[in-house]
Amino acid sequence: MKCNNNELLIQSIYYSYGEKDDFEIRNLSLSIPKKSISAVIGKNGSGKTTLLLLMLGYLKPASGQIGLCTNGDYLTIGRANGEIAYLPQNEEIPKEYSVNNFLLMGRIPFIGSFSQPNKKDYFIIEDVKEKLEIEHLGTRKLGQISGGELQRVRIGRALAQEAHLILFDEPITHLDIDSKHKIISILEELKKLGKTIVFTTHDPLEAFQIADNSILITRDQKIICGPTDHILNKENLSWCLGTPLEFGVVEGQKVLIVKSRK
Amino acid sequence: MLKKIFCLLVCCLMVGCINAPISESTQFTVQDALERTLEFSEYPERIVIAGKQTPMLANFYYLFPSKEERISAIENRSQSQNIFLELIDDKYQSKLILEKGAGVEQIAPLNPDLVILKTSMKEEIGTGLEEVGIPVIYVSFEDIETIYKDIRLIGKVVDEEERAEEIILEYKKTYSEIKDKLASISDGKDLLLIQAQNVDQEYSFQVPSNTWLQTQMVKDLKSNPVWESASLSGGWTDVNFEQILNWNPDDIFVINYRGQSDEITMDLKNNELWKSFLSNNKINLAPFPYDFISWDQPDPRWILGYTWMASELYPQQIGQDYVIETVKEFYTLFYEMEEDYIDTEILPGISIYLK
Amino acid sequence: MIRGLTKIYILGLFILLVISLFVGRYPIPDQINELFSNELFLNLIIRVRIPRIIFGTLVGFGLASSGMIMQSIFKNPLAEPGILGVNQAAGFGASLGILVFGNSYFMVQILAFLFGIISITLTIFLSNNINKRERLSLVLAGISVSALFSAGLGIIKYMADPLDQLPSIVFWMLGSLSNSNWTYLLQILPIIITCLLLLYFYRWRLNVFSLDKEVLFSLGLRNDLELMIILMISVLLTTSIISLSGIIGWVGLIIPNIARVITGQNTKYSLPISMILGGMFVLVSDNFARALLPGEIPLGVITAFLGAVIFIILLLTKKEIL
Repeated sequence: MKCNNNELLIQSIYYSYGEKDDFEIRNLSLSIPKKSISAVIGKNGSGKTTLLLLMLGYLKPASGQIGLCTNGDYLTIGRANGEIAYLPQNEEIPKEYSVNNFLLMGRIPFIGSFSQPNKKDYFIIEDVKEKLEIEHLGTRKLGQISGGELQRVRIGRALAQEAHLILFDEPITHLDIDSKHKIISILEELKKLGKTIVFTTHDPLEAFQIADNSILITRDQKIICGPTDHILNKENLSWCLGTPLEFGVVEGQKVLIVKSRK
Repeated sequence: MLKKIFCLLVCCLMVGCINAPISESTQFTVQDALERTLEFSEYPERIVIAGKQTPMLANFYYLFPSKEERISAIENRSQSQNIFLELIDDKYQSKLILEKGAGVEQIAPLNPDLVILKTSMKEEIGTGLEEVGIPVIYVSFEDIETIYKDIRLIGKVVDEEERAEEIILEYKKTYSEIKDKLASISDGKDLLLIQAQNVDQEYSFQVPSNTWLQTQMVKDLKSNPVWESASLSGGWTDVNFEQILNWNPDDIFVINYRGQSDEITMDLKNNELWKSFLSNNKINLAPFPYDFISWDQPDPRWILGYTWMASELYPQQIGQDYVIETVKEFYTLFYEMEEDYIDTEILPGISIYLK
Repeated sequence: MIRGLTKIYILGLFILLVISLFVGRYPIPDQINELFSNELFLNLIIRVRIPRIIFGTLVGFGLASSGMIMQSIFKNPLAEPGILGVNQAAGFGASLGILVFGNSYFMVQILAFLFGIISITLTIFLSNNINKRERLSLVLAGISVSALFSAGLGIIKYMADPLDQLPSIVFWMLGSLSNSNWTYLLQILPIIITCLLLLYFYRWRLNVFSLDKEVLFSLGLRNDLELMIILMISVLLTTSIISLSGIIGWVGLIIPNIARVITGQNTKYSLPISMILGGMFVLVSDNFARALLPGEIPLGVITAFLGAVIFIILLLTKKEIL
């Protein structure tokens, strides 16, 4: 299987929840390029998380294949063990853990079951904290830090994992505006460091800001993907989000206008 | 006309005859071990013995062999009880119709007119039986005076009061003989009675309750029952080896209710820990005798246990022969056994307990 | 800082061990020089007290670490082998083993372990079918399963044991270390030490169970294999202890909670501290059990009393427990 500078390759997969649900992904093929940021856009319940979990390998497609291309070698997703970082939407955070310990959890793929973290592991998390500007949070408990700080810590765990592909479910949905901004610039930094990022959102403006590629997903099985500039037009977005939308420009920035119903 | 008068007369006479037995009442009253008073209009003919310690109660009842047939059922509580009573009563098997742990619902259908129970069975079965109108008497046998009282009680209830007095006299005779022989003794020794049970390759030890016959007998023999402070409950209390060491008694008698007391005693004497303990402190470790039942129990054999303990504690004053004589007299007078039988079947079995 | 703390506790345990040597119903000889010359006393210490003290400490280590493991795996501070039915099932299996196979120590251990596994499987299965999210459903399932096996134990003892081969029901239900001796200890030492060591090495990794399943998947833990292995080790540790000591409760429940109050949630520190505290707790309890009164008090009575008192204090002062 040729990688062709892609990080993740999805080929003709079919997935459904089964009889309980009419949600289906039919014959989906897409590729996530290396060192890029991709956004999965859709309404709540459209299947964004499902797509992410398929990419992770946690959910298995009924047919088709998904493969990871780290170091140029194609590896079916089933074989990739600890190579992809996943940050869930509503992760249950153990509030009493220290930030340091939580970051160390990212080193799990490298530490044997009956071993303890060693010097190298500690160095790596120091490095990670520096990169994310959270050195001062080391001994604080997870329950005592702000939402934005927590997101940075979670990204830190993904970095400690030394993963090249990071799947991030709704990274900034619940954050206040200055934190949103911080996280977005961090994601850009990560791309510069050579990471591939896929994140989900129901706000296309996030995609406009940093996503090279966008994947639009709706419940009715239709998935559109491609470079953000091409596919994020008002027709696609209106269909995807189920509301007629218009674009506008304010101070050089694109904004979305919801067409009000009268 | 005359015929009518004649018929009337005959009728009156018949009515008179029918009433006659009732007016000739055999009413009597007894007081049982819980100080309850019971009235009987007739002697009970369908007696049931049930509950805990049935074997011992049955052994007391069978001190009145002439009234064997008044027993209609005995609870089948233990194999060893059966062995002895089968010797005494050839109809014994037919009376074993109550299963172990029988309750009111199993006893009531037998339609007894008297149930004999140990005092401790009051809540469990006694009250229930009385509520369905079945008469109950409670017996105790937990100290010497009470033993005499309770024997009299059974004697009265089966109309064998003379026999009861015979038995008591016999007990008192042996008892006072022993007392006389020990009259010169002033200093008692420390004595420990322990029940040893073989449990999963180890022994566990318990001491008896202070309220029981064992403790009374020990005190009566001028010895000091070292375990008195340990008796926590109304039952057997666990003790460990350290505690036994601490008590450091002069004599230790090992009781076992499966007849293994001599095996266990041998085992302990060979045990590393016990060996040095016993020899350093010059302790006399002896197995409590067991023929059909352990002699420490509140059973007619209490006197045998008493005699044996006296001979172990005071061998100068009471010799082996005396014990053997007492055993012979016991089985002859109390259970009407043949002397030959006693010599060949009973005495050999207890020789291991007599040095 | 934490390292220093662990050292203090280890020292505390050691001191307690030494003190325990001198606790017992048999009084210490008055003169110090007699201490070593009194052969009986020495014999007592070596043959009776030392094996019992060692076993008691191991019981504490084992039950406390099992409790910690289960509380971490099930994310539930109320989890422990007793509440999840493992203790009772082990008692049931052990008594069945004694009844059927007599003195075969091996078979007793195997049956105790087997039923321990059965009980925890049942508890997990039940709990998932009641309500997967509720913490309480695990406890409820566990209580039902343990009641089932308790009853089974009762049935075995009262109905199937007419010859009284089994230790008393009091022994099973309330536990006792009174039958400790070197033979028992040496038989059981390999299993207990191995399990304890494995769990000790696992102390940092135990943290993983606080993470979401999908996150664990992304970190390379793709199935429940590790969970099952660690759980089995805990169950083996617990059942091998219980089959010798009877059911001793509260240790696995209370001690891990106390340890976490002291060290925080990081199991790298809370597991070892839990072990040490567990050893101290059982040691102290057994000292009371064997020396307070002339008669032996069942160990489970003491651990229940002390455990309940501590539990009440915890509940009243630390609301985060539940």
